[in-house]
This record gives sequence, C-alpha cells and structure tokens, in this order.
Amino acid sequence: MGVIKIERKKLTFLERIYLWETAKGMMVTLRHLLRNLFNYKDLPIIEYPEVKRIYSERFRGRHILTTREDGTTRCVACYMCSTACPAECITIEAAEDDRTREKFPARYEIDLLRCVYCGYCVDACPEDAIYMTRDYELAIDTRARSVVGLRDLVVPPNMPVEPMGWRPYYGEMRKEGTAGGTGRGQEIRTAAFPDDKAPNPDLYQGDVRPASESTPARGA
Amino acid sequence: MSTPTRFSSMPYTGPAPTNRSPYIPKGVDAIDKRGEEIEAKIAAPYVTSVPGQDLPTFIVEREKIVEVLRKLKEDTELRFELPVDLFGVDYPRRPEGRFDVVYQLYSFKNNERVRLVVHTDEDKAVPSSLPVFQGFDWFEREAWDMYGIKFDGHYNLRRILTHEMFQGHALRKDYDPAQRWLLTEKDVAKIVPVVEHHPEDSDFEQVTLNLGPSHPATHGTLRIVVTLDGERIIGADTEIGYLHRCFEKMSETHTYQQVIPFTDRLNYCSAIINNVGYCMAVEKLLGIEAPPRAQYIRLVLSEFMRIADHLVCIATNVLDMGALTNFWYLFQPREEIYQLVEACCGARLLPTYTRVGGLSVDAPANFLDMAKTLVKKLPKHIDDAEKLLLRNRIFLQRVEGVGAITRESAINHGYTGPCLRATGVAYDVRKAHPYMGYETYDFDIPVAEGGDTLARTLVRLEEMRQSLRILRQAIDRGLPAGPVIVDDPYVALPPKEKVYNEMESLIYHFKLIMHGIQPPVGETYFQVEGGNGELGFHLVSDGSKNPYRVRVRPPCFAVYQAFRKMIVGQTIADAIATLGSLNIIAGELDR
Amino acid sequence: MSKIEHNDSIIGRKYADLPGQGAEKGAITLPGERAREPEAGEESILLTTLETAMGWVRGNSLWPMPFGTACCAIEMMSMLASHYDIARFGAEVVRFSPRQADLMIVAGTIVDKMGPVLKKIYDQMPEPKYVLAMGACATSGGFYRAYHVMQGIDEIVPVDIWVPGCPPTPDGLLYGILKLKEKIERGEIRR
Repeated sequence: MGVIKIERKKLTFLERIYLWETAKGMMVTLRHLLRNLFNYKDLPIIEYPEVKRIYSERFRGRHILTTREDGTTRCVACYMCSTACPAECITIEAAEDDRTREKFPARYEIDLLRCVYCGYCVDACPEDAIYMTRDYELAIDTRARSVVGLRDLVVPPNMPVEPMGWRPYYGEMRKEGTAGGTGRGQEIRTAAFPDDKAPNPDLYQGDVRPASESTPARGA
Repeated sequence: MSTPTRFSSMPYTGPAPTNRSPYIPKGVDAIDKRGEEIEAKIAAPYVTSVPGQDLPTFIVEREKIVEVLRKLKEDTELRFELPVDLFGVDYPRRPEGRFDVVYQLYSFKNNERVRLVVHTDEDKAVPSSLPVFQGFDWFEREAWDMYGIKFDGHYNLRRILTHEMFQGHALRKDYDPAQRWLLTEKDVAKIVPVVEHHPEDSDFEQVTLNLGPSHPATHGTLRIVVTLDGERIIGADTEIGYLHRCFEKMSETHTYQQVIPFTDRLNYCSAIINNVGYCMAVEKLLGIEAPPRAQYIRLVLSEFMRIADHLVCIATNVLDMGALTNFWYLFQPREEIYQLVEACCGARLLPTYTRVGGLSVDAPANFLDMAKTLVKKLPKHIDDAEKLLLRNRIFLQRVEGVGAITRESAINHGYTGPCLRATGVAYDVRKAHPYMGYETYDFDIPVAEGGDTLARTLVRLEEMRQSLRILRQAIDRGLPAGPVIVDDPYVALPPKEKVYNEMESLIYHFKLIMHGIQPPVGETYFQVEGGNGELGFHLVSDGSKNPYRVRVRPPCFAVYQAFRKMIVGQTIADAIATLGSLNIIAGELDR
Repeated sequence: MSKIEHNDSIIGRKYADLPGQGAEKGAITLPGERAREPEAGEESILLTTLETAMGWVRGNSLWPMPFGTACCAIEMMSMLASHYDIARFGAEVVRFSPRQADLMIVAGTIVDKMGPVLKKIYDQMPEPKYVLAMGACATSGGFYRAYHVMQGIDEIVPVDIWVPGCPPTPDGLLYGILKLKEKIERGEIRR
C-alpha cells in the first residue's frame, strides 16, 4: 500500500527574510496579469449579456412539450412524468377527444420554482413529448408567474435541435407511430384552453393565441 | 398479501414486489464465520450474532452495550478503534422494542467492520457510549432528536438538527413528513459555552461572542459561540442544523430512483461521489454491478469532483484568511471541471448523473479529449496555489500548529478522510475497501504529521496530485466499450427506441416508473471515499418501492464535533483558519 | 467587440446568440416576461426625472449581501469569481454586514431554524432594500416538502426577483440581477 509522507520543509533564510518570497509571489500574480493583458482572447471571463456561454446539448433548462407533424401535442396525459418527478411540480389534467377517443392534457402545468431540473420527466416520458431546452434565463418577478401552462410549454412541430437540451435520445430516431399512441392525436385546443379558467390571472392574462403562433422556435 | 419485514412485525402493504427473496450478501459465509470468531472472542451471553448480514452483526443487550464496545475497542487482536456510525431505525409495534440503535465500528488493524444492534423502546434508555467513544457524542444527540431514543449519561442530550420549538421526533414512522413547527426569534435558546479552565490571574473580563450562522467565515450555516478571555478562546460551543433539509425523511417518502437527486445535495461540492455511493449501495442490495463503462465514467468524474472539492476547500480557506488572489486562481479550473460534468449530464453542480445500475446517459463522444485537456491544465493551477501559499511566511504563521488534533483524539472522534490523514493515519476507503476498480490504479495515500491546519492543507494539495495520477492512468486506458447501464428491466429503464416501438418494453418502462425499483428485503451498508472522508449509505429495505430507511454516514458530522475542543486556547482568527481547513459542508453536516 | 474564441479553454461560447435571445426580443412568452406598463397620470414630470436618476444610480451600484447557505451559494461564488465577474455591473462590493448592503441574495435552502436569522438580517438592512431569492429551495422549498424546510422565503420577507433552477447557472443568476437592475431603474419595487 503506497503511502506518501509529506514532510514540512523548514523555511530557508531567504524565505524567512520574507522579501524574496514576496517578490516571487508577486511574480506569479504579475505573470497572470501580463498574460491577461497581452492575451485578451484567453481571459476566462464571459461577458455575459453580450457573450453567452454555450452549454452542452444535454443542458437541463426550461421544459417544452413537443408536437407531432400535424400540430397536435405528443403528450397523452399518462402521468408518467408527474409520477417520476421527485419535486411533484407537474400537474396534469387529462381529457378525452370525442372524435378519436384519445387522451390529451387539458391542463399541463409545471411549477418552475419547485422544479429541480433533474430531467426525470424527460426520462420517464414514453411518448417523446417532453424535452428540456438550453434556456436558463428564467428569473421572474412575480411568484404567480412561476407556474407555466400549456401555452408556454407547447412548441410547434419540427423544432430545430439547436436550442434543445436534455432529451430522451441523441441523434436520429423514428418518432412517429409510437407504441403508446396511433400517432394521429388531436388538435391542441388553443382557442379555449380548458385551463384558462385556472385561478391564475397573471399567467393567462392577455390574448389567447394559438400555441403555434405564441411560441415559435428559439433560434428560428 | 402481507409479509413481515425481517426485524419487524409490521405488515407490508405496498404493491406486490417483484423479488421477495431476502438479500444474500456476497461472501456471506466468510462474514458469518468471522462473526462467530468475534463472538467467541467477546465470549459474553448478552451478545448474539446474526448470520446472513453484509457485516458481522450482533444483537447486544441494552444495558451491556458500553461493556461490549469497550471490549471490542480494547481487545488487542480486534482493535475496533474507529467509531463509524450510530443511528436509530424505527419499527413500530415490534414486540422486542420499537427502536434499533445500530453501531458500526471499524478496525484499522484488521481492516474490518462490525455492526452492533441494540433493541430499545421509547421509555428505555440506552447507556451512553461516550466514555468509550467520544465520536458518538453528536450521533447520540441526533438519535435522540430524530427518534426520541434516550441515552443515559449523555452530558448534553438536547436537540441537534431541529430547532428548539420542534415537537415530536421527525424520523419516527408515525411523524407526518410535512409537519412543521414555528420558530420565532424569541424562542431561540441561548447557548453558553462551558468554560473548563479559567485562569484566575487573568486581567480580562470574560466575553461571550456569537459567530454566525450568517457570518462570512462560518460558510453561512454554522453557529459558533465562544467565550473569550481577552483574545483567547477559553470555551466554545457549536450549534448546527441550520441546513437540516430532512434528507433521511425525504428518502423514505420517495422511490429509490427519486432519492438520487436528494443525494446530490448532501456534499454539493462533490455531488457525483454521493450519487455513486448511494447507487452502489442500492446495487449491492440488488446484487447487481454496473457495467465497466459506467464504472469507468463514474470513477473519472469522481476523481475530478474530488479535485473540485479540494479546490473549493483551499480557496475558501485562504479566502477566510484574507488571501483573495488564490480564490480567483482556484475557482477558474473548477469552472472547467464543472464544464466537463455539464457536458456529460447537463447540470454543473448537481448532476444527478448516475442511476441505479449505471448511468443515465453515455458520456459524450469527446469525453476523453475534454478530460485530457483538463488533466493537462490542472497541475498548473495547483502549482500556482502552492507557490503562493506554502513558502509564504504569513500563511505559514497563520496555519502552523493551529487547530491541531492528536492522532488518538482524531480516531476517537471518528475522523476520516483528509482530516484523519493529516494526523498520520493512512486510511482511505479507496485502498481499504476498493470499489469501482480503484485497486487496479496505482496511487498513494498522502499522510502528514501534526494534524494541524497546515497538515490538512498539505494533504489536500497532495491528494489532488494523486487524483490527477489516477486520472492520467484512466485516460491512458481509454473508455471500455459496452453499455452504461445494466440490462435488467426491473432496475433500468429500457432504451427509448424500444419504448417507442415495442409493447413489452413500454410495459416494463411503465412498471418501473410507477412501481419503482423493489430491492429484496434486507439491509446493507456501502462506503465510498468522499471529499471529506468516508461517506456511507446504510439502506434498510422492506421490499417496497420506497426505502424503509436511508442512513447517511456523514464524514463532516464526525469531524465537526471535535471542533469546539480544537479551538480552545487559540484566538478567533485561528478558529476561522481551522474551520476552513476542516471543509465543513453544511449540506452533508445537517443533511 | 469581435467574436471571442478561446483556443485553450474547453468552455464553448458564442457571441450573444443562444439561448433566450428570443426572450429578450419578446418572441417567446416566458413567465414573467410581460413588463408592467405604467398607468396614465401616475407620474409627474419632476418626480419622474428624479426617480429615474435615482433608479439609475441604485441599479448600477448594488451592494449585495450574500445570504448563502447551501448548494446555490457555490454557484453564487462562481458568479463572483473570474468567469462571470459581477464587478462588471458595479455589484462586486460584497458586504457581509447587512448594514452596508442593499441587495440580499438568498442562495440556498432556508430552514425553519434559519428563519429568525434571515428575518433579523433583513430587518437590519437599510432602505431601499431588495431581495433576490435564488434557486428552488429559497424560492419555494423545492422538492423538500419537509418538516424543517421553509416553503419559500416569501413566507417571512418580501422578494423582488425569483430565480428558478437547482441551482441556477451563474448566467441565470446574472440574468436575475440584470432583471432586478432594470426593475430598480424602472422604479417599481415593492418595499
């Protein structure tokens, strides 16, 4: 078993008179200073609002709900994400489409303040419906606005990969015709979200736009 | 169907578990044999060995526990000197007493562990083990706070983690996890440190001074009350619990998978190590092993996180002493370590990367290149810090001989990790109980003499170099091929393409999310070397999807309890230098 | 300023592009993105000018008091350290004394035992004072729905900015501080 014993070295005379060591310490600092002065490109600083750090494609930021080609939400309100969520921050109310007899989320809310961004909802989703984005600029100034509903979450189909973060798989995969659903689904009820009557005036004030208009893809 | 759990008569009412056969640990025959040997050595009628456990386990009669502890400690062949852990477990309605008090000891001589179990009840007090092991001081207070287990002869049996107005005992099974109690400012109890030797001829008046919890040098969550004679500390007391986030109760209300994000937040400076420790404990219970590729990535990230942990410790320690430059220089490489972690799993500080049975996702394609770049860059930063510190007379005068603890005292207080190695004991879990293939890497345990602040800093600096050594070897070996998670539908989620396209996988996926992992009935302990010492997870499973009990063996807890003795006789500035060098992480201390 | 390239660093970065650029332009609806519009006749000209000046001054010289308890405090330190460098916004004067600070950054879980301490420190801060709650625990209790954890610090002190995340990245926190700065400059702060 290898054991190293670290010996303490006694200070030499030169080190004890203090000035020489101070000068050497200043040299280290000076080296950093000069390197930074003449090699501006390698400064560690990120000038945040102007320059933004690119996080990896696995970054766990704000959530989105994906849609199928025909503009319907992929989510089938199976409650898997809310079951897997350790923070219990996802509230789902399921409804059934009269025509196709398929379930869809009448209400889907995520409390962004409760959320711990662990990515379990994405792992749990069997329908490829919930992704996380690289969006980390989430600060809000009213607590009531922390709960985001379908209108803020649903994005149009063919979202570019660029702003996506944590997602169920990386690379190509056949997305349509999932085992759980027929892939047809139903239209998102944009004109009258059933959760518009939700007791959250802050979140749902203003005009009600179709989801496809209200949330265009970032970077598009 | 209801099946009683091993120690309890409480019926189990959860969903039908998938695996009801009890847990059989690896090498159980050898462990049982060793248990019988130890039992023969103690040779007492009040000790009964329990076969079939992962450690030699004995049930000891309540009144005789101190005697047994002393025998185990003082027997020249056994030498169980290190008090590892003491905690309670609650089994309501069990005939032989409601609570288990579990002791765990470690022997440096034989590199083995032993577990003692005492049955007790609400009204029956257990004799305090303080005369034998000083290190059980806070552990006993915690058991009192969390379970209401009384310890006879403890000098200061008051609440430790929860606040003064708290009613009831939170970890009892009948306590509602969300029941809070109001604490206002006027309820806060006054703490007066005990002054043992007050010099009669002192010219100064005694002053009692409160530091923290919101104090720049106490890292936001520690409260220290000192009695001063002039500038000298003549008595000190510490109060913790300002970050008690109920980890252990929360684990009982979440599934095995959901506990992983909670473990991140224990020692948040080196979160991956906690993930690994917890997941390996569950894997031990399940009798599975993560694939080599997952183990490799876990090991590499653990070592990087250990470096980050030490960087933060040294940076904040010298920052408390007024050296701001090092803070800037040392936080810079740390940022890049977090970048690597973020590339793997999408979060910088709290990764939640591992899963039971492996990893959540494979490492990115450029993982090894990034690691290589980092390993090349890190020594430069460590050298800079060394140059600025180790030959610096001001720094040396601040740390040499300050906050010293002797080897015997450190062991008796349950020290592990860099703080123990700074007293000259070469104990490292990675060497003593190798896991994840540490035995195949060539590295040394750095030890220093003196046990003072300087020794701790030296050990941490050298440990970073040793971690780099491990990393270089690992990078030379390259990533092993294969999957990153076990192929077991009862443990790991099936791959997504199967979930989308195959009915069977979808059902497994659904079952695993809804019913969780259901390990066999049993209990186990697994330890890893965390940034601050031995980080252990003791799991008790009743076969349901939630753990029955998750006990964390927090290294900081044992280290910090001796702090009030270490600073007596010194000045406040010394106390702050000492505190920084102990690297107390409140998330792990208070849980 | 030209695009910055770092040859040696493993940290990739891009000149003001990803993410949240859409948020700045109002292209996507983020929670809380809708700024309050002043009502007609709310302000007089003289006071408006003075208040604008005051707001501008205050917003550009925040003195933070870091109330860091847990994991978020480490990310807050990252924000103070070299990579993000809050000094660029005039807020590098970190004061541990509440008497000398006007922005309290509550980073980390506040448990019931800490509650009185937090309240006392908030009370000691001179007016005008602002509170930024950072991270899931400080803002709402996060996933600790537990017997000893405060479910958001707005139980005891008023909060001006909530920064979600667990922990938020340093950039996310900087975004929150910039947002607070804007808010101060607009003059809409609850006292």
